[in-house]
Amino acid sequence: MSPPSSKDLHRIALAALCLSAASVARAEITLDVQINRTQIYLGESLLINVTVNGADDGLPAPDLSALKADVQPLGSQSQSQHVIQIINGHITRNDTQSRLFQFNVKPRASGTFATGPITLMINHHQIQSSGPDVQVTGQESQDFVIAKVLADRESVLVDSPFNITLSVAVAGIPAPNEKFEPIDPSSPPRLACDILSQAEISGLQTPNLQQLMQGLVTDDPRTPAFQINDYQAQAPNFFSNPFAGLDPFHPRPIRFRLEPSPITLNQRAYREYKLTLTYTPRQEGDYTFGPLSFKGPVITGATAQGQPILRQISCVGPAVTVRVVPPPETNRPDCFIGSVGTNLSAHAALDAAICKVGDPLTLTLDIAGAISLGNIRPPMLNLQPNLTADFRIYDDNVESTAIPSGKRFRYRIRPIREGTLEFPPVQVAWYDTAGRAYRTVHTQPIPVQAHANTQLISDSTNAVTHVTRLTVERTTTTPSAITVVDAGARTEHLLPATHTMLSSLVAGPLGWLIAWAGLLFHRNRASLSAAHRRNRALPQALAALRAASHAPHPDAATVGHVLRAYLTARLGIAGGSLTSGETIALLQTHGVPEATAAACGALLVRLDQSLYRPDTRETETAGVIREAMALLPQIASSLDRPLKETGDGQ
Amino acid sequence: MRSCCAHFLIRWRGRSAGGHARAPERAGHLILRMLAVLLFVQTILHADESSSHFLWEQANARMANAHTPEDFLETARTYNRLASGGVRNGPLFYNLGTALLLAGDGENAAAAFRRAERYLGSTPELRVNLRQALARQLGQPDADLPWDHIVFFWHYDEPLRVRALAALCGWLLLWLALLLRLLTRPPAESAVSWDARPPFLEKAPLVELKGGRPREPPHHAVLSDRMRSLANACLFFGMLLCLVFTVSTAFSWVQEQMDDRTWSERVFASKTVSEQKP
Repeated sequence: MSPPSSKDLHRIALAALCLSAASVARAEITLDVQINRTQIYLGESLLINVTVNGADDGLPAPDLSALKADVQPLGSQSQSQHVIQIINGHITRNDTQSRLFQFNVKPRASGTFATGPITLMINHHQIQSSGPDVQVTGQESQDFVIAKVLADRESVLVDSPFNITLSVAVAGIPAPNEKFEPIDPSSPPRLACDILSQAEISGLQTPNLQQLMQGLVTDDPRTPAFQINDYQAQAPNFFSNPFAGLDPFHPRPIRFRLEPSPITLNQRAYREYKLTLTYTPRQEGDYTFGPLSFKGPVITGATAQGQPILRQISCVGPAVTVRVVPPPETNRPDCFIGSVGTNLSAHAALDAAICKVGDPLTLTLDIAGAISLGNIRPPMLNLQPNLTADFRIYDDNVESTAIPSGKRFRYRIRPIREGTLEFPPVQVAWYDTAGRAYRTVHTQPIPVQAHANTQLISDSTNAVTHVTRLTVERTTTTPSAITVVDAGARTEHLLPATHTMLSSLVAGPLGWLIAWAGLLFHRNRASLSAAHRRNRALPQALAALRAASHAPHPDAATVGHVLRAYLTARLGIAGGSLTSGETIALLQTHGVPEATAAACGALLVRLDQSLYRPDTRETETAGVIREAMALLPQIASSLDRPLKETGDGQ
Repeated sequence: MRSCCAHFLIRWRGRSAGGHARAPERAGHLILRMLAVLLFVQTILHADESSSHFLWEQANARMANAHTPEDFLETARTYNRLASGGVRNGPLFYNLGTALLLAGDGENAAAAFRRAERYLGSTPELRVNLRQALARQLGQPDADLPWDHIVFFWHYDEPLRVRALAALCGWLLLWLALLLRLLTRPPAESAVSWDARPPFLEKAPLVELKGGRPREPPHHAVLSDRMRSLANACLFFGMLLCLVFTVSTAFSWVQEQMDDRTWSERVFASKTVSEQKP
């Protein structure tokens, strides 16, 4: 066999590493098995609680198939815990993960019952564990007496009442004596059940046993009755049995009368004696009631002489367990305080409205209402992110005191910023048993003014106090704690967005330029309008003359109006009633040659005269139009010339 | 990733050039492939973000469980891996600085806190830790913040983003003031237009006796004067705001760029300093 190569050694090392890692991973997850009873009768069931430590979500249910019993899974619930501690500025967060699985187990045989092995498969690894053994006692099989302990509900919420019924069904006497009860009044059987003697059960509000049992007591020796537990009377009742009570110090069992009701079980007539007790849970947990044992004679028939035939019967009614469970895990808010009920109100207050940064403040949170107080726990304020933005909350050391219909929690908090702050609303969630849903209430926000922390240092050398330095944040010498906000994993831009900066940079100058241009236009609007009119005068006049020439009957008045409109627009004067003389003078003033000005004046004269001569022919007006169309460009060029000459000269 | 995209595009171009598919089918294929590329890129970006988030959580968990300077130094290196990966934000540099401070590396801690200051401004926690980092740098039990933190308080108290926005606000105010000045006439012009008061009445109230009856100045002239004054005030404050915060922003930005370039050259080391008694 050749020695292993380096590659083989690497593989072996890798395998060993994987195995060790797997063993470490297995070691992190453990099973804890607990049972609620160590001794039961055959036919009774017990609860097995399997706690998986080290894991919570996505766990498969543990396998109990190896048990010699009928197993009924009852569900699971998370028991993970989150604890945040702040010590000297260090934030420590401990997350404990665990999940509780519950099973109802009924052993199939008497003897010692092993509650194991219980296995759990996680990531292809098997984890095993076992609980303590349980002694299962067998009992005689008979059908004369059937004892039962019944619960109207297997699982309830805190503050939800439930009923436990102790039932003893005794087979009826065969005909013709079926009208008689099968209990011999002279020798009452004995019923034994712990809950009939327990005036108080931790976590449960019990019924008033004294009043209940007192109402069942009977002194009539001819009435069929039962003895219950060890209830005994010291004082003899001389009149009920004058020969039995001679010894005044001998205690006598009390007779309790339970009213029978006829029932049929397995096609056989029975007389059922019942006693119902109502309990109200105050704390979560598993509560076992029973077993109920029956011991004593019952009448199974009668002889021909009418004497009863008695038979000693001993039987046990199996115990029942009622689980008081927390509200459902689905939709459970983080701020759930474990309380259930029908109404809850929360009020928060701080002991000071003005403080300095770092000063300890006391936050008082009052929670009250029609809710269960046994399971109420202080809300973990550090799990509410909005509360820790401006304040450091020490919720690992919360004082709890009782107030009417509720509880008061006192937290120590410190503002970590200066300024006018607001302690945000505290969320408190509870389970509404009426609506079967979680409800969340909020407290009012509390304003706080936190000033910068200052310290005045005095100069002690000359014994005169001087304010030498005013420094900020000098009270603490330990580093401040880190921050665990999610923003720490994301890139944050150092400057505002580029488009924001560019638009802001451009907006100012651009706005100013637009305003400046608008103002310039507004100030020069008159000259701009005049120039526009001047430039448009010749084309408009020629177009109007052309339209007039194409008309079937040229109108001299229209032509005169067109000529005058052109001249007023071109010369920049107001009004449209120029005479011939004024026209000649104005044109000459503006540099138009004398001949052209005179021709224009003559045209106007001819047009004016034609208005008052009815014999004016249309051909004459058409001739005037042609002359005007030839004259106007000359006038325009004469008027433009000085400008052009001036422009050339420059 | 680039090679994958390039390969994909080359394949797509080759197939589209040689294919005889009709135009609608080609368009449909194009859209589908673009969506696939977008999905691919988004997946990669998301994976990158998840990785950063994991590192951040890991570093915070290490910080919570660290007890010795070596632990804190290792935590600081974890934080620095995030910074090396391109993540830049205030909480990261603050936590990095705190880890370095607890590891005993005052110099690098102070540098990290200064970078955090640019993102967060000067928060009370940051001031406390920066002071202790400076003290550790000097080998003293405690130290003051540098004098410029008090004199140039606006430069250190506010994050760079806020200062840049303040500079932009100043810039906009400046142009708003110029606009207002453009729309209002100068005081002399408006005064002459409504009243030529003698010099000895210059300081007198805007009510003058004329013919034995008080005569108030025209309303538009008073309004114009007030608008002009407001414009001048806005111009002054806008210029001041713009100048001060632009200089501050530019200075911090240059510092951040220099730090960013030289950050990878920094060597973190745990230094146990014996505390000096005062």
